[in-house]
Amino acid sequence: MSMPPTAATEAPRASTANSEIAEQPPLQVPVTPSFAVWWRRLTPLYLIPALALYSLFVLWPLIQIGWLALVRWDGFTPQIFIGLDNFSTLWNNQLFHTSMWHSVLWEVAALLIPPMLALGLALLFTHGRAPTLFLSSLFFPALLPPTVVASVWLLMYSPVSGPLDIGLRLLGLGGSAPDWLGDPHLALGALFVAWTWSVVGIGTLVYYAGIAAIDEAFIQLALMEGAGPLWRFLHVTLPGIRRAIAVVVLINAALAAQVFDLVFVTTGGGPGYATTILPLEEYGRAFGAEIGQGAAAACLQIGVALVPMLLVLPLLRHGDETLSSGEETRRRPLRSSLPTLAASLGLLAILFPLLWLLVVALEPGKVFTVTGPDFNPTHWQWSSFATVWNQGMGDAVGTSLLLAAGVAAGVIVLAAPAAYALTYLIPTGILSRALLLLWLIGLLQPTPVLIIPLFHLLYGFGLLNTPWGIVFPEIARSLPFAVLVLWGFMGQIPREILQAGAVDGASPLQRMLRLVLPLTRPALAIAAIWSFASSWNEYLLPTLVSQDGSLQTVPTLLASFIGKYNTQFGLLAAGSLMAMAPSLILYLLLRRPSATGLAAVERGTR
Amino acid sequence: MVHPRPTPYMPACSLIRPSLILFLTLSVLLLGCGAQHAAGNGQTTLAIWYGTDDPVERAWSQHLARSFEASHPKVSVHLIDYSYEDLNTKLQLALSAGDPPDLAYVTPRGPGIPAYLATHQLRDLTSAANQNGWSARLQSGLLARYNRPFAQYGATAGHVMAVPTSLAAVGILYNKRLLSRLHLAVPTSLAAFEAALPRAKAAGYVPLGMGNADGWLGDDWYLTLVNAFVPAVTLQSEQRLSPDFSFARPPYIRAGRLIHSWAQSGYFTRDFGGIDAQEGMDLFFGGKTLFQLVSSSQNSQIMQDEARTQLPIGIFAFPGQGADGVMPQSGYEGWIVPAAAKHPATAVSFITHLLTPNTARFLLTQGLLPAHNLRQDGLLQARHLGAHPWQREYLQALATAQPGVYIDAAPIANLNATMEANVQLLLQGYEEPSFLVTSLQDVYASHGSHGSSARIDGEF
Repeated sequence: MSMPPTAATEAPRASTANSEIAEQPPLQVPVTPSFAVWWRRLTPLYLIPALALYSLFVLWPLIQIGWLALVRWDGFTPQIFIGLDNFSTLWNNQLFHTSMWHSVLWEVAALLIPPMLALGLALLFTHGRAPTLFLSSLFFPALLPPTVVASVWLLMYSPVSGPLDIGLRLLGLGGSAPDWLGDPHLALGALFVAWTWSVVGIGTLVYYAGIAAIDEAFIQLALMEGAGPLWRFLHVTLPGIRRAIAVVVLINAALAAQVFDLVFVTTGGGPGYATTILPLEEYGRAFGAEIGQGAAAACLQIGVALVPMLLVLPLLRHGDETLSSGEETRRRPLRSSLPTLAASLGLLAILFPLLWLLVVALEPGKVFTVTGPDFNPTHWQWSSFATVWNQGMGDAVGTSLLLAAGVAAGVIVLAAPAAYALTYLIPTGILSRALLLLWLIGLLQPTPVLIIPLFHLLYGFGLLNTPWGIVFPEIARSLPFAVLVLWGFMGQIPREILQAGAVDGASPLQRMLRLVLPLTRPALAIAAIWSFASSWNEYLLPTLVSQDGSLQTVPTLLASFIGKYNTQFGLLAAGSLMAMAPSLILYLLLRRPSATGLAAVERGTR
Repeated sequence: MVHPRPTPYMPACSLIRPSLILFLTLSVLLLGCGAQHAAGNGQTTLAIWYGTDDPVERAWSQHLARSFEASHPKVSVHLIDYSYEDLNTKLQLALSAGDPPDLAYVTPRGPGIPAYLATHQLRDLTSAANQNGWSARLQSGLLARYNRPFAQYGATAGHVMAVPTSLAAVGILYNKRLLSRLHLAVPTSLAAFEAALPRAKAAGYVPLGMGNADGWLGDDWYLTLVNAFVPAVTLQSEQRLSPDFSFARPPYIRAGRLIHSWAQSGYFTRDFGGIDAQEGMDLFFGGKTLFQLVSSSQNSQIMQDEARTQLPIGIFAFPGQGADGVMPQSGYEGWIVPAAAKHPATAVSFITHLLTPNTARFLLTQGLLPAHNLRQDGLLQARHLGAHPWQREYLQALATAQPGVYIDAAPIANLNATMEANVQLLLQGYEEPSFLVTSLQDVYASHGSHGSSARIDGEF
């Protein structure tokens, strides 16, 4: 059907917008001041804490990586400057080309497949019943450390007792069951599926929040005018979630660039070289006495991932919140049960590996046996849970909880003023663009190599064996994402609101605390959830910082059940399930604000 | 005009309530205080980093620390377990920062001990070894043999830089019940071994158990065959980077062809490419597999599976190079004392404690193959070995077989990884034996700077 493209967007705006707004001349209180005024208002104070921490624990190590890419160094002997030789060594290595190609493929697929999948799920949840239940359940995989995700999928893909092959055997297709991780043609794709499983929940949450914020009036109007589902999706939903799309793409680009543990634990880059990716190259070379080559590989990896991020950044600033109601709108479930059914199937696919984890926890002795689990409740053993608890799970959860909550709080406290300054206080121009680029680069931290300069920094500051040695770098590493998301959201707040605040005598600090932050609660919640989950799942940093083993976190405890020989899958499964509980509670607490709409702004202008 | 007024109806964001921030800050502070270890009362705290890839070993490794504390009341031992990868990462960083532990149990493969030695990060333990009689406590000549390769990394020839306490040896695990059912004897020649394979397959069994998802088992198979064709003394020089060496020689090609033909004949476990070593071992204990190449690093799993299934099993050395076969036995971990250790004397005492018969007895109960002189201490008569006859067979094979050498432990970056990757492809039919040796020679000759891989059509 044809429909005037402006009908759905203009009419509600006209009906709701107060005509006084249009008639009144804009207030002449400058919100974006000149450089002199900017300096006078102590803008640096908003930026300095975040920028200082970020510069110290992210930028400085990144600069060092840039330098290390130009030297030959084994970590002990003096560094020798060799110019671009490390890059040329990598370029002349055929195997490196393979890794590079795989990383590019992964990055491209990460920008397309999980975001589309997440959008599909969000749409289904929006129009289905009990969306809260669905969303909460979907978030489970995001709360698992990557090493656990790897182990879960080792179990799933097992040709012996994996549920996929068991299912095919039950269907009489046992002979054609693929060797998921053993076949070079399938292995990288199979790992990508596992990775998608672990990240799709975050994207779905963000999309759901965006869709829920779209004003119901637009949809009703479109319906009245006879618009079909496709038209509504293309002309109402998609424009309404433009910024959500940017956020999801940024998240996936950043996560894809940091894939390491999943591949390292499952295939180690094999079979052959079928799953080698740049982070594996970086790690292997950096800790194989060729730190320069590892650093050069890291520089190339940043280059690969930076391109899509630069492309998507403008979207973050140009979301179309004129379609938003400013509050979460619970869509009435469609009469058809199809969306609920489809959503249930999607959810089942997401939850199935976790249910399998439960089976493994309850029947630990049956893993990998020819018969596999027998699903007989009378044979279930709950001892795995008790054993894990006795091995310090309670303490590990407590430590992880405090660290992750500290990181989330730190990120919010530092990122909010920094984003506020970037949005309102710094004049648009080279400086603001440079600052944006600086934050953007921070999304692409090549952890396997970054850890080398970071460790020396922490040692120099005496932060090893202290929680601060984890909290400070973790805050710094989560800041780029938080600042960019907040900057994107804050930019959509109408300037009239701030001008009104200024006229009423509110200082910049008051305007930030009383006007801007309440209006960006969804973004704050997303930043908090992201930083919490990142910190909760971090493995390498706590392992390196805790020289005396005093800081046992959930991922480090769970990793102790994993080994090249005799991985204790029962304990690992029980521990993983236990570890999900606390962070799930936090998620449920923060879910509400994150789903309160992506542009509460509009409400204030009406 | 309905501009919102800031203060009356816009609440401050609840996420940054000062009370919440204060609470979290205090909590992390408290955590920080709690994390500090009190040291006082004249106690010495010995910091040990222990490397193992076996979670079961992690569970009992603390026993080593506690037993030392029991005999040294003024010492508190802080032993932390890490996987080999994590330990290598941590130790490299700690050594380069000058803040290592007092003692570490690490791999002699690169980068490991070679990297630390080359940069003079380790303490020379020769005088401690002489004073405490370490050599006599270990199997005859073992200490010298273990340390010999380190000379090429900068250690003085004949000096002791690292001390092993457990061996890692590769043997063939077999199902006694199946062997008897097939009317076969333990093969003492390669021909007999090869003859058993089609027979087992024809009878509906899996001739060779294999789980090669992580690559190391295929690599071990290839090197075991190499050891069956080449004298160990030759391999030792090649491991030390003999300039004349080439992988393109007949024994290396023959080993590749043989393992390739076994794979093509379907002798290995189905889908072995996607099954890891642990899974492959569990399948063996399903009772349908005749032989399985194993490393003694897997012994804890063998003990568990044996207890679970009661399957009668045995171990023999792979036939070749003499009547008693060949048993590759290198690459096992050793104890090192960093040059910057804070308590080197206590670290030396700990090593001495590990070399006592009591520790050897304890290691035996955990299924390990102690590096100790078991005959001298009468440990082979230990009562618990009766419950695990395969362990006794393992030790006997170890004592009589030719000691094989892993050439992939040569100090060349990427050699081990290249071998694992290309043997994976060879076994799965994506690569020819000739390409395997070409790719290995490529890495060997370029000292790790060049690698090559077979292109796989349609690879994702």
